[in-house]
Amino acid sequence: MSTVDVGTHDRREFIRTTSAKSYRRRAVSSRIFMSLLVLALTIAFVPLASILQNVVGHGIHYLTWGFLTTSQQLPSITNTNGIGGIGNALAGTAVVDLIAIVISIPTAILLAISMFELQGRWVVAVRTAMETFIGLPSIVFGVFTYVSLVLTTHQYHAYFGSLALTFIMVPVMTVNALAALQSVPDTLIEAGLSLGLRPSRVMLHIILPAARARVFTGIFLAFSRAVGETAPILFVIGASTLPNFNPGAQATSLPTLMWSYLTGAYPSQREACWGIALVLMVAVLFFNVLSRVFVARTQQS
Amino acid sequence: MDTAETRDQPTSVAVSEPVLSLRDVSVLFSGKAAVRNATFDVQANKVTSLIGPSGSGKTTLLRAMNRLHELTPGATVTGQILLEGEDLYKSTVPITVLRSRIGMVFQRPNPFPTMSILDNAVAGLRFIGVRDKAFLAESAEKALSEAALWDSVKDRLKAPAATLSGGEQQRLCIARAMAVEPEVLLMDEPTASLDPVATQQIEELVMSLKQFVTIVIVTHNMQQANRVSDNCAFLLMAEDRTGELIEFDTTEKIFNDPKDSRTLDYTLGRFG
Amino acid sequence: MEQVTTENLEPTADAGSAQAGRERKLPTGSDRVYRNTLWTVLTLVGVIVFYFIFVLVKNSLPGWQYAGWKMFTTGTWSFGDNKFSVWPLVLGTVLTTFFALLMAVPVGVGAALAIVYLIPRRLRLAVSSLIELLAVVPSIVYGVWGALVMAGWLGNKGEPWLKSVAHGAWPFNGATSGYGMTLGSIVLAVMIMPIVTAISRDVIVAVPKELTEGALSLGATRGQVIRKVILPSCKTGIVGAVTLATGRALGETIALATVLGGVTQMSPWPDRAFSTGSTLAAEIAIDFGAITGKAGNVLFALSLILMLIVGVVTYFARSIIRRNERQFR
Repeated sequence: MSTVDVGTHDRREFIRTTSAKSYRRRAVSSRIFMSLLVLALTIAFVPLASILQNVVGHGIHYLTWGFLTTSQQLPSITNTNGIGGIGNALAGTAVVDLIAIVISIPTAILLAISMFELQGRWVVAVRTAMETFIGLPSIVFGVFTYVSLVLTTHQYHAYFGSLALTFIMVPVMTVNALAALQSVPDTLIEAGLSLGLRPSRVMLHIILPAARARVFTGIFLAFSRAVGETAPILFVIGASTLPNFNPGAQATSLPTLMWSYLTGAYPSQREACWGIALVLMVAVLFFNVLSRVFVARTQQS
Repeated sequence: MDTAETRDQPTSVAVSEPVLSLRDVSVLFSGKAAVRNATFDVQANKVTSLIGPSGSGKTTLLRAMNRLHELTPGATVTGQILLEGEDLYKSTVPITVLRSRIGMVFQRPNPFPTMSILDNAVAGLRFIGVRDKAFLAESAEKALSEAALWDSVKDRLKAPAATLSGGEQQRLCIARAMAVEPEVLLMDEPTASLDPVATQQIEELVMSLKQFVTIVIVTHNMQQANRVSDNCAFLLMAEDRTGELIEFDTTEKIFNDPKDSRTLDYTLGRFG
Repeated sequence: MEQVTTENLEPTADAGSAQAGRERKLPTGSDRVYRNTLWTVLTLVGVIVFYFIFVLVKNSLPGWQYAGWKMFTTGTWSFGDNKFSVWPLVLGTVLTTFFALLMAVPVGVGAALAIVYLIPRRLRLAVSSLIELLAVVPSIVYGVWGALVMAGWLGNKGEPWLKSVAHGAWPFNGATSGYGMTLGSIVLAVMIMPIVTAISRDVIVAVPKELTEGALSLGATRGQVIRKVILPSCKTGIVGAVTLATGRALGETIALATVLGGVTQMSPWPDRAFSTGSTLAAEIAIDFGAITGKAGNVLFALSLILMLIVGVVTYFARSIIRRNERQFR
């Protein structure tokens, strides 16, 4: 039941008047909406600011050479502040993570190459598995490592943790490496083949170098994630209050140390978590930024 | 109402009230002019085409006419663009209201993909605040008929707009623009992405639409301009890579008896 | 389960699509060593994956046997007392995830819109990177922040304020300690928000400029353009982002283990906003210390449930995101 005359001129008038009358409401509504967006962005920054402020603020005075090199100690009633340092945890982290990386990188690259060159349902299955693994809770890998290694050998070793971490790193590296390989232009590949190069040579000398940046992105991304992981290694590497570079021995790593300090009995232990957190975040950020540098390099080329 | 003789016209055109007047209009991006000093009138209920090779600033000039450059940071528009005598850029009327008086159709059809055909057609009206369902339904039918689309879609108004062909989508966009009853319709190479059959349909549409609106059309296809427009503005990129208005006249004169030799060269196809 | 950002989400082309352009398969004759090496690696990894699934299933079976149907029919979870109902854990998981999403999705999408439409283009990368920094923070650091900073603030200021605003009505009733479901939801929300923001931002940026211009030239206000044109076009992508965030939230272990208060005392049922509680993932971590004996296998059963849930959710997320990427082609 239109109340408006059908004549064109009146229609136009009606539209103009409606438009003018509704303008204020629409403008206000638009402005409110855009303010909500600004509010959302601000809210998004608040926790970041709080975390950074706390980690740096509380943690910075732990960054002494002594703290970083001496090993942890157990405080006592008479020496409630005697927590020592994190030297053992740094050593442990280094051992566990380095071994993990040494295993993961070749595995991931070979795996990506195989998914690139080969065909078939098996390839699809493994690729799906990799993609799914990226999203799985890391504790599941800790449980697996525990069950298959610790329960069978009744021992804890640092390299168990490395193996658990490979489950976390390999999928990330592989997925990124595969995408890197696939992004190499076909023309480049065909040029190599038409020169008579064998596929393995083409891969080695043409495709891999071209995909290099993106592969590095994946590697550093995976590493930055693995350095911060707690759950997968928590129950398989045991603990060690001494700095130990022997992968066969038990080890404490930065995240596991934080875990035990957080629920520790002494306030000095809880406070020290901030210092450990700062060290950990510096490491994680370092590799994350590195991975972004390679993302930028990828986009340049 | 002035007649042509009492106005200071830069060129002689047939007697008709100018709806849109450009006076010394330049568009600059971060200080560098893309088109400069364009002056001409767009007459009511006529089709005015902007032609010229790529880079001559035709689209830039067109988009100044509905203040679309305000989306681009660093863009400035100088000079005057008068909509029925009122400066478009200095008006106290809010931009959203002004924009509904100047519709635009784009090079690639851009119906809103998540809306149905009907919702697309009345989208403009809804934005403006028209709620009356009966009015909206009437407007949809009117606009779609004007766009020569009504008969083919009237039974599937609720279908998603994406189910239409390219040419139909463009006509939907035209209908959408027409539904708010603008005074001017700007068309930026509307047939550039369409096949020849659809192109012809749109050209016929343009000629039939001018009884309802004033049309400014940018086209890189000069035969199209010749077929479709009443008045024609020829632009060319100067050596400093800025577009300039070389000549503005009736289409007939531009294509048969232009004043500038460059215009002649272009219409004869001596350069593209 | 740690960070999942867009970078390691790259949807690899379906096996065949990129290679179809190349036409070549490795001919069986040439380069046999290469081919065999690759197949070996692939098979090995496949075997490991199967072994992984097998081990988890096998070791959870005794757990199923031990706890039996009681896992689904009774109502209390208390590891020390051999009470093994999954429901308090499931409820804890669902509630924390739900409220985390409730907080993170509007903020995340809103922030993404703000980044695309309100922040000048040259600052866009910097601002986005800052927000994505939140995704890089390790879970244990979130645990520390949650336990040492947020818990105190919530216990002293936040929760009492909520309680007074609600006049003590449910669910804002009872004891407030700072630890518990509320803290868990907040920490989780902060952790998943960057995922929502990053993916939403990509989806929003992908909307063709002509749609915005078309709407504006009809006389729409900016708010109308975003609400009526941009957001509807992004619906699929945002759903994908939310699903991914859900998967992440469901599996978060360490951060929740430290802030839910389940270590100290576990409410039989997380029925208030200020209840302590636990989730599937957190509980596994908390009880792992006491894993000897038959009760330990129940934890493996939980792992299996957790893995299945998260695996399914993540799988759907990826397929949604992949489908969305095809939309504007």
